[in-house]
Amino acid sequence: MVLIEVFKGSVFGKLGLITLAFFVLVALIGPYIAPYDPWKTGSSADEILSSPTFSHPLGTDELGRDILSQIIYGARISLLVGFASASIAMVVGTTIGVLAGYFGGKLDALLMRVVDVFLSMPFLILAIVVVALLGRSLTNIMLAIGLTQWTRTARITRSQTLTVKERVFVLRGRALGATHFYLMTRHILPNVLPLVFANTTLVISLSILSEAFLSFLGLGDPTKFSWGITIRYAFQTGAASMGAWWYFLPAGLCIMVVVLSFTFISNALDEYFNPKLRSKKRMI
Amino acid sequence: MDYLRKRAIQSLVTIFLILVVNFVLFRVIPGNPVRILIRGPGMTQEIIDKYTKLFGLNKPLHVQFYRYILETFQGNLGISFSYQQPVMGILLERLYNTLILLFPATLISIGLGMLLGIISAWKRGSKIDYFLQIFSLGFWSIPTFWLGMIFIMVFGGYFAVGGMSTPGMDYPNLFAYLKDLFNHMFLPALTLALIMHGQYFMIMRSQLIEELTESYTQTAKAKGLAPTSILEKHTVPNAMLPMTTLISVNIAILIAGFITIETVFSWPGLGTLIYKAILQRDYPILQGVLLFLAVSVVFANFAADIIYSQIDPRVKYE
Amino acid sequence: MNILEVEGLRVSYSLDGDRHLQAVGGIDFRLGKGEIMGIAGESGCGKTTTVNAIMRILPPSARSEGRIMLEGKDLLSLAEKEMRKVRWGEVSIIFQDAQEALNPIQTVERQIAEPLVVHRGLDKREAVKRARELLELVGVKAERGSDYPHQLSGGMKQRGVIAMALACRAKLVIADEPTTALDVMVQAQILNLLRDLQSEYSLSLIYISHNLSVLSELCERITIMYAGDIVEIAPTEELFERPQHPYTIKLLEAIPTIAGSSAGRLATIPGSTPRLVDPEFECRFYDRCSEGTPECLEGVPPLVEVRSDHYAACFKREGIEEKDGSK
Repeated sequence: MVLIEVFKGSVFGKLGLITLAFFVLVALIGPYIAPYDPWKTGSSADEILSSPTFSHPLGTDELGRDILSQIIYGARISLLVGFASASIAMVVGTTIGVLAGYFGGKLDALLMRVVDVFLSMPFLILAIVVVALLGRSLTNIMLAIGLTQWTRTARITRSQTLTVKERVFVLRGRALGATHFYLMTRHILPNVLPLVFANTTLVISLSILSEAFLSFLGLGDPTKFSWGITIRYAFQTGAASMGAWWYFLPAGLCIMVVVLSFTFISNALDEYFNPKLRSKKRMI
Repeated sequence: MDYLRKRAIQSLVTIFLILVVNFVLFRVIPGNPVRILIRGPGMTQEIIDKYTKLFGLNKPLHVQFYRYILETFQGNLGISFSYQQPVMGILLERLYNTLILLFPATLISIGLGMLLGIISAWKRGSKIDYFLQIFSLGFWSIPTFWLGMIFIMVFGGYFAVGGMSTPGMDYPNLFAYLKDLFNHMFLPALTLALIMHGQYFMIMRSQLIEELTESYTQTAKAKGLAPTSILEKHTVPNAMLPMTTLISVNIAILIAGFITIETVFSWPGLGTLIYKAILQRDYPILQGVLLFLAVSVVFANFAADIIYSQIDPRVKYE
Repeated sequence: MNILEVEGLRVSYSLDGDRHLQAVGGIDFRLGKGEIMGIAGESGCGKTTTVNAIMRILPPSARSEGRIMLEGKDLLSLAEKEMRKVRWGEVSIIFQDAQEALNPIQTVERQIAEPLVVHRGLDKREAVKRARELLELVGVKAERGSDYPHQLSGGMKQRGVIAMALACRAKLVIADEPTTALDVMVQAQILNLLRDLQSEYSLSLIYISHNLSVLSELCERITIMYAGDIVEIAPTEELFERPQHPYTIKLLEAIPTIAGSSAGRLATIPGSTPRLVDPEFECRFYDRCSEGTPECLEGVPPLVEVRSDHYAACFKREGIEEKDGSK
């Protein structure tokens, strides 16, 4: 299949794909492989903030809860938010970008000013404001992150639309009396989507990091575990000063590995779709 | 210059829209603003009416908006709930502290990123290149607060990890103060610098690789210059041009960075201000900070455009 | 007295795997002091590679073999540090595309002044002053020196590049198709300029062009290259009146003349240049040659003197020495 073609040349790309697949798998079957219920608190004194043991491979937190289980359940939320937010961002971004590029004129100018406004709002601040105002539910978080990520997609799809718009088959369609909607969905969109997908991995990475930031600042969903939330609890307990590395190290490592995987995949995709024409040689 | 004029107008329009958005977000969305302004039970209708009149909340929306714009331009960003003081004053005070941290951190990240980018580009394809790429990419992929916590754990014994100064200390002279400041600043600034340098690294590396394929590089070699001179006088200056535009792109990440770093290290700047405001639902602070940061970003972008047009002779002399 | 003697120069690039691309396959030629010699040939025949090899400014993936003697000093055997002194100090080059060859973010006078600082020890101010004098010399107003390359016209840029090449009074100046990127009127001006400069300062000049007419205007001797080999060397008039190598003959036929050829069509050489990757050991022109016979496939024809001071590399031409049957 196509996947194999794309990643044939790239060692890092394959690595990224496999790693990501692993995490997605863990997220999907999480509840079945987690050794404990992450909410289950410990009872005895030596079950509290204990460093890794055989029964608790990643140790426990200050309430005696198993960290490994928290990480596994956290994977579900962190990845879910990452994918969902990115989807929102791409849908919104593509829609606005295509509309702006296709209709041009005043609509285009207006939409681009809106894009500018959103670009000026530092993404974290905007997300903070949205969640602080709307409440700390998972949907609000996804919405907030999606709102901060759509602008790049919008710009890309807009410029691509501008290019495609002038192509012969589109002009012909207009001459034949096709509706705008038809042209946009049947002609413009198929040419725009590949570019969007190539951009997706970056958006997903940023979404996952955004979720971590929001959770750390206390805007995460308190009824769930995520990697960012775990790090927050660790911070509030003073784990860093206490040297309780097992509490916050694994969560951050997971974030790093997942983001790196997406980056490698993105690079491999980029190489495949835009191979660098090495016509120019190095001079010195 | 036409381009700059166009950009100036765009920036002004954007700022205006930011004001609108800000107004809408905080006045329109959270239900009855009065109830939020005056929290706590036991609010009688009389008190609510009094405050409604005081804050002009019974006037039509566009009148409120007009008043909002006026107040903002006068520097009145409202009163903080928790501090019971004007937001503007608190903001400026904290801003000062944040800048003390941001300045060195940004300088280091740019310098480090550029240096490593040059080395990586020069030794492209070698083990050093791969290692540096993974190094910088790795730092770019981790949450800043997480790295901060790691540093606290590892270096906590050598450097101060809380606040900006040692509490209760008396400074006999400026030098003692600076020494203490440095002690407190080292870890947070280092954390921020390490995370931020990745972006500068990647851009410098790809730009320099590109410049090394250009003909003028060969001309420089033909003129008998040594490789270090070629890099220093010709290729690196060309590669550096796009960096100015890069700085404006980076601001969003920088903001996310300093908010969480300050929180982790208890640095009394804008970041901790925001953190506490979130905890305490202090909306005027949040609104003021959002406005301030958003407008700063617009100014920074515009400044970057101006700077770029001045340093690239192809744009300057058209 | 020869200022330059090239012996057995071979330049190859290593490609992926064990493959090689041979850009120049073992050539010999010399240049006398104060002489103007032209090198002609199609794109990719190795003209630029040869001169880049002389200056040792080939890309890092290239390997050069042979000897390049500049007034008795073998340039290929010099350490890099020594070679840097030679570059521009003793040999300089006028590049083909002035806009590409110049640094877009530095003023023209600064770029002309640079080698003076590096090689002649002038300080910045003196060097810039001298740079402006050089600009006047090549016909550009001195105050244009403070402009950036993109602000100058094509002709002015090229003059600037010439001024730059002359900055250190190099013993040997190489002009690599300096007028190819310019329109005809400007081309003529630049040619005249070069001619004047050469006679004024007795420059030893190698002039590269794919245009034989231009070379006939300027050069005393012309070398023809094909697919990385030298196929003919002769004084200009001799070359035009009695060309020996089949390729040269075809080249001359292809030049459109005012009188026009009898057939009424432009003469062309059928086929295209051979691949230079993993070259076979045979005459490279065989496939396009009208005189080729099977014996031409038995090796690379050596360059021999076929008439007085006239050399050609073709099995079908006899060298003037061998009467006893040996070549």
